[in-house]
Amino acid sequence: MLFNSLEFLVLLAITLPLYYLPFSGNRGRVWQVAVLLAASSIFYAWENPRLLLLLGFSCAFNAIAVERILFWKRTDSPTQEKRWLVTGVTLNLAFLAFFKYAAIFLTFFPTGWISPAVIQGVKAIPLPIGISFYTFHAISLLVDVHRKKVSEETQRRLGRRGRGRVSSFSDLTLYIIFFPQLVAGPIVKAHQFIDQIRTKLWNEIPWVAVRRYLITGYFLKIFVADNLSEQTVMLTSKGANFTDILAASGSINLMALLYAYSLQIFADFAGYSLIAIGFGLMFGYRLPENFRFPYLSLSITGFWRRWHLSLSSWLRDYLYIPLGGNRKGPGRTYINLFLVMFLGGLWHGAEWKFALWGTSHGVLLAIERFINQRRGEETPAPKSPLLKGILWLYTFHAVTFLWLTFMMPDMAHIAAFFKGLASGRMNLPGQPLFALAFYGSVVVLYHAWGWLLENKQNLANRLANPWCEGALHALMLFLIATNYGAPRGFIYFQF
Amino acid sequence: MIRYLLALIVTLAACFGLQTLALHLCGGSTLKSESNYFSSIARIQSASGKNAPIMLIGSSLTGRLADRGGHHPEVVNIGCDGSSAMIALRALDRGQIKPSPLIIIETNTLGYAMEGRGREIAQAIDTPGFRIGQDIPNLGATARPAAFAYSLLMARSVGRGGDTLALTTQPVQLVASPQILSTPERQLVEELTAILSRLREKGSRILLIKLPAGKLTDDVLKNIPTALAARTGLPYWDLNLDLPEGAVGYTDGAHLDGQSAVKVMNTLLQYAATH
Repeated sequence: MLFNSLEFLVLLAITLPLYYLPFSGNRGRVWQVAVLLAASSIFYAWENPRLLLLLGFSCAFNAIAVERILFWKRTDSPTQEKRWLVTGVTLNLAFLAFFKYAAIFLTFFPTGWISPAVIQGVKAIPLPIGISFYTFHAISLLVDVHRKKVSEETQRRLGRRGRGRVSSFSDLTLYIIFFPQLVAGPIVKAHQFIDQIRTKLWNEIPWVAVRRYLITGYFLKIFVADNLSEQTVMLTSKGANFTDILAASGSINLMALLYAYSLQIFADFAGYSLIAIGFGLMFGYRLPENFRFPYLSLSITGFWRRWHLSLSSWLRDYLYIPLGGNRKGPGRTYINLFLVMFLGGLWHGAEWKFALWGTSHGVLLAIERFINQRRGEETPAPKSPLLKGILWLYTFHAVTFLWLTFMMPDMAHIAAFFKGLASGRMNLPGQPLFALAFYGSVVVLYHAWGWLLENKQNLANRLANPWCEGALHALMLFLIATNYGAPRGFIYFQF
Repeated sequence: MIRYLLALIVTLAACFGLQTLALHLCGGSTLKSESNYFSSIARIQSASGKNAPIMLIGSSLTGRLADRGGHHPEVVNIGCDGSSAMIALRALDRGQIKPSPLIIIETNTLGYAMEGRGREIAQAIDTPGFRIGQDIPNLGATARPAAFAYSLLMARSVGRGGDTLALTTQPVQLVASPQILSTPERQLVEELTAILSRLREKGSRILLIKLPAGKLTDDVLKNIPTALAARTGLPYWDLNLDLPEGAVGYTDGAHLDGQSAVKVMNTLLQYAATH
């Protein structure tokens, strides 16, 4: 189910009043968890109910693993506890590997070793929607419980035995399948969410924040991303005729489309994240911020501190630091950096192009780290506006050109893109340029607002008054109602 | 909270007010949107509310006659960008659009229907959003703020003048000829024949035309237009026949430029006036 669909609005209209029915004491908490579990199941199973079985299976084995980890923790048996942690994490990764990466594993074998029928069969396995997200949630749960990062009370609740297992299972399942973050994040760490499970009250809903997140999120998705996607479909479509079209296109046309995609993917994903956070708040749960004006970055290092923060943070806590982070010398640090970015890239999809995308970012991160260390600066902050401009241009264009490996179907399409770009044909394409200016300017203004917040706090505070906000929200709602794009799914749903 | 709500309501009212005024100033519909999808939806939505005597149906080749061929209140143009006349014909057949007394059908791209082109537009016609746009013009595709801005930019490219195409040909009735059609082509012709027959029963006259389309003239033609003309006995006019070299120009090698769009429109209007 999509946030921008009519059926979702119906589900929300039913769920919200039911959720806040006034039950007293623990009954209220049990009721609310049950309502959210039911709504999340409907949300997830809407297109394909069979996928719910898979999700249920994942929740069940993680519940067993969590209970066992807590049991051995209580009995002070670290070896057994670690054994269950490793088993749980391995099972989760195996689950993800089977459904997402089986086809890519087969490419390791020489031609002819595996029968074409088997390869076809494996490739035909459909990718369960949101599997990358809920698997990461589950791993976070196992590790956080093991590391005692969740509160004592939560540990007691999750470790219940006998009849208490129902409550423990439902809490754990709610963390994994809570609908706002289930299929496309933000990736919420267990300790950020599970301690929040308690009775929620209607009058505690922060409506001002909810409306800000929802209006901005829907606006970015429906007005910006959906409208830009009609133009950029030429870059993302697969087929011999598209390589021909790309190779025959003019340089200005291709650059306009590339910039448009760069702005579109931000609007699409940041829009989704804002909507998710808004709905999370509506049900009393604070989800982590996922974006912090990423196109203001002056380096790739800075970019990853602003883009898909929940993934960067997850990879840092559960992969980079356990690998040793930067504590084991420069050589190992660079290896860890590459590995994390390579796997982070591959997390997006079982195709080498994603690994190439992640690794390319890893290379740039390593180069920046090397240069900064030579200068003795951890995070350089250039003072000169000219230098800032140059660094901004480098970062924006590096990120934008690397989106090519992310979005284009294969290397043949990328080659065709560069062939067209090098053609030097300078004809002005009306529709892409107009779309870039009309819809892309919103992303530019959004980042200008971010710049004000970071650099001119006083001015930003003066502008953030009810008159300006009301007028701005009215304009956004008007454009959502009258200038929506052709409805499309969210880009990150495919991961 | 009160200040916020006040600003919200006043601005919202101002936005809709300005949009209504702009829609009124441009005669109820914009020329074109930057989106091919919404341009097509806008033409279909606008068509269903008009009672014009002439209806032009086709692809973006036909759509070009609307956005560069000047304003003609007596003509309803349903050119579906990236698609074919099939979308509008099926909608006419289902009663979603009211047919005009004279329907001119561009046959150049009928073959696109077999490739499923324009599926998104066809699906949109059945959605509640489409019907809301039909009933409330402000929420229709023609009133998108982007369409106003894009049309304003395009207004410079609209052709002017009273020229017609220098043609000596007239519509003809083709006799059945032995043409080789594949099964999907045959099925398409069957479906079209049935739809056109029902439209004629409702009182519409029909003219099949083949527009000048530069590099696309023969690419997508297949045998469908002539087979359809022969099968239905409807008048068929190939505007490319006897057309002097360089008589029309194209913006992208396939779509007519403003001056040529005007000539084609005038030629068709002249036909409509005399038949």
